[in-house]
Amino acid sequence: MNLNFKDILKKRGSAGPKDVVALEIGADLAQGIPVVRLDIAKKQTRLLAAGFVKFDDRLPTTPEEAAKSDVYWSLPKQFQASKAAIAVTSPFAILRQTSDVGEADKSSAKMRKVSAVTDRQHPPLIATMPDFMAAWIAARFPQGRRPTTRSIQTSMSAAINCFCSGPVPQSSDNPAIVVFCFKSYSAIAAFFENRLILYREHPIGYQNIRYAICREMRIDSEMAETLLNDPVVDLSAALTPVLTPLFRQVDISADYVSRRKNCEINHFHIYGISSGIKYWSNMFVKVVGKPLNHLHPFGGILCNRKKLSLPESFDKDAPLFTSAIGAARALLEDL
Amino acid sequence: MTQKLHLNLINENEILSSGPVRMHVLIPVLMIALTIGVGLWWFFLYLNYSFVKGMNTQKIEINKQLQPGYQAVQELNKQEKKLQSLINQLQSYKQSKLGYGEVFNSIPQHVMPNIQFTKLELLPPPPPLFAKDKEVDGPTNTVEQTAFLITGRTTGANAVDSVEKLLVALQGDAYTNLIRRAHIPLNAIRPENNPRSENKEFLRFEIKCECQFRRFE
Repeated sequence: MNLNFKDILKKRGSAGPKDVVALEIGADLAQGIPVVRLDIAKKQTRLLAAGFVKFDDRLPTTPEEAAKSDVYWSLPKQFQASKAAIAVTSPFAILRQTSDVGEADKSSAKMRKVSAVTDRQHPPLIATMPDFMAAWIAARFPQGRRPTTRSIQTSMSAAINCFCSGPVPQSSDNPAIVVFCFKSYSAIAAFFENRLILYREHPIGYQNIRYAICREMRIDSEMAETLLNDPVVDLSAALTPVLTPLFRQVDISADYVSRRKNCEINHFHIYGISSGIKYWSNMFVKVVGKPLNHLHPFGGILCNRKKLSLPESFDKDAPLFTSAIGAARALLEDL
Repeated sequence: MTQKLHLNLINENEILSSGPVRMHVLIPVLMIALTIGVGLWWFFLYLNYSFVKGMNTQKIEINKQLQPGYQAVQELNKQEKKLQSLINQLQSYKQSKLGYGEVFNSIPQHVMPNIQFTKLELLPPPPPLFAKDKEVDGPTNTVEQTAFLITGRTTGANAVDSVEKLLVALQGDAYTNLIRRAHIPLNAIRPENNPRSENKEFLRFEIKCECQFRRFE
């Protein structure tokens, strides 16, 4: 009889409670690193903790740098689940929909690839990351302490999971286009019968919006943020040149899906917008001619606010947890 | 059904355990410890067995050496027991001795001139209550009933009275130490048909005296 201790360990791990913590590293947010802790009880996903933590999450860019680094991460007590899912935002962490597997491998470093065929008529979705970077991330949470890393995903694939695990696809299988807005870029994902059939990225994020306001109005970033939420000031003129190209891309993607699948797309969703929502909505209607539905990343998650100690800016910053939530839910479903 | 999209870039070998005790280390260590434990247990069991075996051999050797002496002691013990039993029996006999002499010496004073004793017979004791199937060290009956029979003849007009008087005397307090019960058996007073009696009328009589029990204790 062969005793495989790893198998025993794996089986033992799968029998444990479904409780995970997820964080998005490399996002370079002013608030810190978004961290959420979720569990599943009676088939209901529950929020146990959410907040921002601060530690050095700079990612190594070369194998030598990774070999030299001896930084270890630790989380506050409320985030110490046994398993961690990490969403990585980095120029080296790439998500592409391509039939050419080698396309993403542009650097000389050895790349780690994971692909998924989402629709037979469309190219597979491929996530890549330098091998040294993935290995370095996996080792940041040391053995024998909670948590340890069980999942590493790109922020984009984690965000897509946030939508897939959310309430919208659970309730209907209408064709939909979802825009995930990150700091410096946006991702456009088209879903048909709840299967991802198109994925594109566009280099416009919410930071570009602020930069545009700062540039146009010659104000600093904080002031721009304030003005975005001010109902009196109209920033449409400053935002139109930035948002129109993005929404044109959305329109093109919708047209592509309509023609390929012979269907009309009436559902457009967006994740990741915490300020200036009215500008996004109004401009979207102008460009695409359809309403834009803002989705909350914590949708479908039981959240007992009285029992949880959430950050004061939780409601405003909730969109920043999109990738962390998606990473956590993907790992939860795998346990 | 929503499509599942978990593009996990972590390798199997990079997944670490968050438990403070690493099972893949602990299980082999436990198994080695268990093996060593079982080995030690068997070793000590073997040592114990060897020790007991040695003791047993030694005991057999000593038994062999002591056997003749032991048998001699056993034999002596047996003899001692037998002799002690004999002594006890003798002691019991001594203690159960009945004083016939004094009684017999004092009987003549109650004998009338017309009475003549012809026989004084000690009756044999009754046989043991059970058959002796093996030799027993000591008396089989701890109590023995003894009796003696006075046979005689009498004549004259008051012959029967004389016999009666003798019987009463034997039943009196003076003889209770020896005689438990004295009586004339049925048809024990009868005429004597003796050709040498020269036509004189003689009566033959018997008095049976049952003595106190002899207790061999």
